[in-house]
Amino acid sequence: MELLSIAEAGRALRTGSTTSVALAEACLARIAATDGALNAFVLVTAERAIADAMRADTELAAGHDRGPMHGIPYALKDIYDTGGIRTTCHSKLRIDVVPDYDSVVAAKLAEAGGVLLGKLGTHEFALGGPSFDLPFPPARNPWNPAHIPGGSSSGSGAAVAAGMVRMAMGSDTGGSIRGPAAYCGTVGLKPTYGRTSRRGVFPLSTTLDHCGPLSRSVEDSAITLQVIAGHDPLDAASANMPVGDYLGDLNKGVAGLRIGIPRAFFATAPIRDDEVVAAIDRVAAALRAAGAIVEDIELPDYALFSTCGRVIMLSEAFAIHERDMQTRPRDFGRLTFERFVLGATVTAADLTQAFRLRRELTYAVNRAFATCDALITASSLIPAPTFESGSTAMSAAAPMQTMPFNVTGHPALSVPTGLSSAGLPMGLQVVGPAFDEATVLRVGRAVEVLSGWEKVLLPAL
Amino acid sequence: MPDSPTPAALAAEFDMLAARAGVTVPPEYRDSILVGYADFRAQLPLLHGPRTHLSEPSNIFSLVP
Repeated sequence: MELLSIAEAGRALRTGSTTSVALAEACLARIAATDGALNAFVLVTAERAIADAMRADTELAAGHDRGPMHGIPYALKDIYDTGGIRTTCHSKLRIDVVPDYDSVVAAKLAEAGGVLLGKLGTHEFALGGPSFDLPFPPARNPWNPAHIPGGSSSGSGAAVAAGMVRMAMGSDTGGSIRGPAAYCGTVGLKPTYGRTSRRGVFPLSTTLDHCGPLSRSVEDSAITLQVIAGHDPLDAASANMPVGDYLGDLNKGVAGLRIGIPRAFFATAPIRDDEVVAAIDRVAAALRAAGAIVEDIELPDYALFSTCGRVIMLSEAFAIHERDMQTRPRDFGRLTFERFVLGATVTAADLTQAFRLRRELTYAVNRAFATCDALITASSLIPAPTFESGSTAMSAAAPMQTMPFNVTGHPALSVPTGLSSAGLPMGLQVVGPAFDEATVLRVGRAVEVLSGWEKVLLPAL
Repeated sequence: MPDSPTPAALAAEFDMLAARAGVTVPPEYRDSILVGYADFRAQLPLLHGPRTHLSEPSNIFSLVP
């Protein structure tokens, strides 16, 4: 059951070969069997799931079809407000918070007939982790639980990779969707800044935050985006742009598309694994063989993107948590405190220069799309490290290559490229012009096919 | 602020900025925070590079006559 895609499960629901209750029960059984070792969930909402599923079965039987998510189980990172259901941000500071209302994304998924399985672990406030001094243990990587799943959408990545659920919502401020996707071997979509509402999702950095799905397949992410995309006048960053058709061209292939590779991003990175780079080159060659025009391109120095994003993120994060940092410092996890406090050291001139630089960098990436339909580059330059390695620090030399497109807001999708010799997933990013998620998903789907990832089974648990 | 302060100057700078922000740093956190601060601080000069009219056409000015 856990191998059914969202589209396949939807067809099975409509032909009567399965029921939403059966899908939900299969997911709950998988969670019960595997999550003790993985800690993906901080709360399983079994009663809510069965109630949602029974309603979906009743509605579908009566001919009331809410669309492709109707009757499909999903889960939410525990920074998404859920009315009447605890939303902790994985933090002692919010351990008893029960919101009155759903976040916009949660409400859209509920309105679409989705079946909520529960809330997923995160790095504290989407930044501090993985940590062992928080109210819940950190999620672990299903491919090898001694390794981190990435973060901050750590539970989302682990749950999808372990087959507990086909789709889980994450959030991405510097790579918190695409990082776990790369480390766990899932697809992870950061839509264009403004494409999805963040209202009701606890902010980390208001000008860098994005909401998006992690899923088993590109198609699952496309289906999800179709449901959650759209303008929200009460989210100051939400864009009033038409929602595209994310499924129509998904299998159109890449023949004739121009794909750029900003090779200097990863070729000169201080930390990189040759297997990850070789996998990107293999995919590039396969895309070329499939008819794409693939060429190396130049973008501004990676360090400019990294610095710009880090300064903005830490400044905005500190501003959000300023009062608690002053009055309750020991209620944060140690790693969270140590990261947030750096935001207190940013000067007004630093932040202003970062905002100015962001505009320049955005224009530079826009210029690349004058000659390219999409870019491909690394998601992470290494497979998932172990918890013990300590290589989880946020630093200038971090192996994640995701921050540039938080800075510029362009849509970016992490897609698996294969398994390393150590049996850990590797991935790459597909990046597209602003609000052209359809092309990003189309190229991502081609990568998924050409890399052979569709044939890779779930990790043995 | 100089681009490459000594470790002592860096620590003093951090202590001042944290105090100015009203944050009391738990003493046992301080050493590891200073490692992170040094890394972060070393990135900042990248933000302050010169900009020409080509990069920001409407906002370039000079205080030099």
